[in-house]
Amino acid sequence: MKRVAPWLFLVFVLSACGTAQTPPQFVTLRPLAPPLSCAEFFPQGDWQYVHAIRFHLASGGGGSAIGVVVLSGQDIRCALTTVEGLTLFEGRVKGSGPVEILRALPPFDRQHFADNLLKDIRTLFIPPLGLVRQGQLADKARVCRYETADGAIADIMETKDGCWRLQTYNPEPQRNRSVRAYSCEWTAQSGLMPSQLELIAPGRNGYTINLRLISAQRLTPNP
Amino acid sequence: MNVVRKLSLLLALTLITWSTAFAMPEQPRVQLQSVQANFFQEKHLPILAQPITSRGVFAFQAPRFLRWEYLYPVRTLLLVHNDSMKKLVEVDGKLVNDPDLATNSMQLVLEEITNWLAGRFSDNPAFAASFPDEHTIVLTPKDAGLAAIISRIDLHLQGKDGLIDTVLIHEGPDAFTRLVFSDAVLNLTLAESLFTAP
Repeated sequence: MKRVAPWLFLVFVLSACGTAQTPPQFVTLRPLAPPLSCAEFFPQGDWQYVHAIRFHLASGGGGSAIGVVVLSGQDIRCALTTVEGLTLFEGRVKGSGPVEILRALPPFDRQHFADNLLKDIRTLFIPPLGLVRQGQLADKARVCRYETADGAIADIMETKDGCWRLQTYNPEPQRNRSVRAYSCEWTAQSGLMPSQLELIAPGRNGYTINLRLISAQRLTPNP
Repeated sequence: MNVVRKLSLLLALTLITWSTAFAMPEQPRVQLQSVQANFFQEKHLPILAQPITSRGVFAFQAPRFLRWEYLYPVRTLLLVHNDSMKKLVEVDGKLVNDPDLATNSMQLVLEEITNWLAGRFSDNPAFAASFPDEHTIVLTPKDAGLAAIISRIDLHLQGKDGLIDTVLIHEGPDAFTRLVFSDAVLNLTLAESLFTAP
């Protein structure tokens, strides 16, 4: 139990001071036909997800929690609870606005924790920022490459098992993330929905978060 | 960090205690030697369209053997055997130790358990107890810091034995956890290994 609070906290604090990582060289993207629908890698519409979370620090240690993410238009609401039901954190962000902490126990009541938690949630569930191009990498994997004006790149690639993986390359290398989705199911309503997600923040102070989907509920937009 | 750790432990273990059989203070107390039951848990939050549900089983044997096991959605197991306590969590299909249960927290929880089983609600330093009717016990935090986390706890008793039927833990507006117990079996002789090993 002790591990839940401190390690979760450390995960997101340490993410801000990870080891620098040099992005690898990319091969030239080649156009594909028919075009890959980049948006379908991410949830379509409004959803509530509940995940069982298991996390590990590169430096050792880890823990478990329950995570809730509610995607509603451009807004995100989220919560972390213990398995026993105690609310550790509840927050929301409207569009690109600041993260608002609705309820949190120490040390989760710090803005730095909330900001980094929401960044990882965006990486997992929201299409990256930037202009998107489609193409193919050297290993034949189809890719959607998002690139922002400041040079941040995010590649999301199909995998042979019908799922996807994502790699970010940022001007601040310590912000990079790798995500692997497993056991995806595709529906027109949901896009590609993975049953499991793994997010890796590399480096000496990095961490790995595994999310196992407990429930996914399509939300009806308010009239 | 201590706050979360202690509260999590307190929550987990006092739930075990609340779910065991006891009677209202003015009534003869059930002679409880052991109890086994199922539980169903709902976690409600304002942001949730539907509550998070969990289920599991527990066992208690007087004076200080406890087993509290979530089977869904995350399998975890809490074992208390006299003065030793351990928590296990399922990782990759195997139960592994969660190694950092603090000794002082364990002591705190065991003291709580002892009070609850004896029906000494007023002895609990953290909560004030009131009895609005013969089937309800309301616990209110004495400390403002704790009240910001758990605003109130309602215990609902059912039947002549005064078995706890439902526990409501209120955290704030529209944020609460409901535990419903079922299929309780009292006073069987339970194997000691039930409280020492998965």
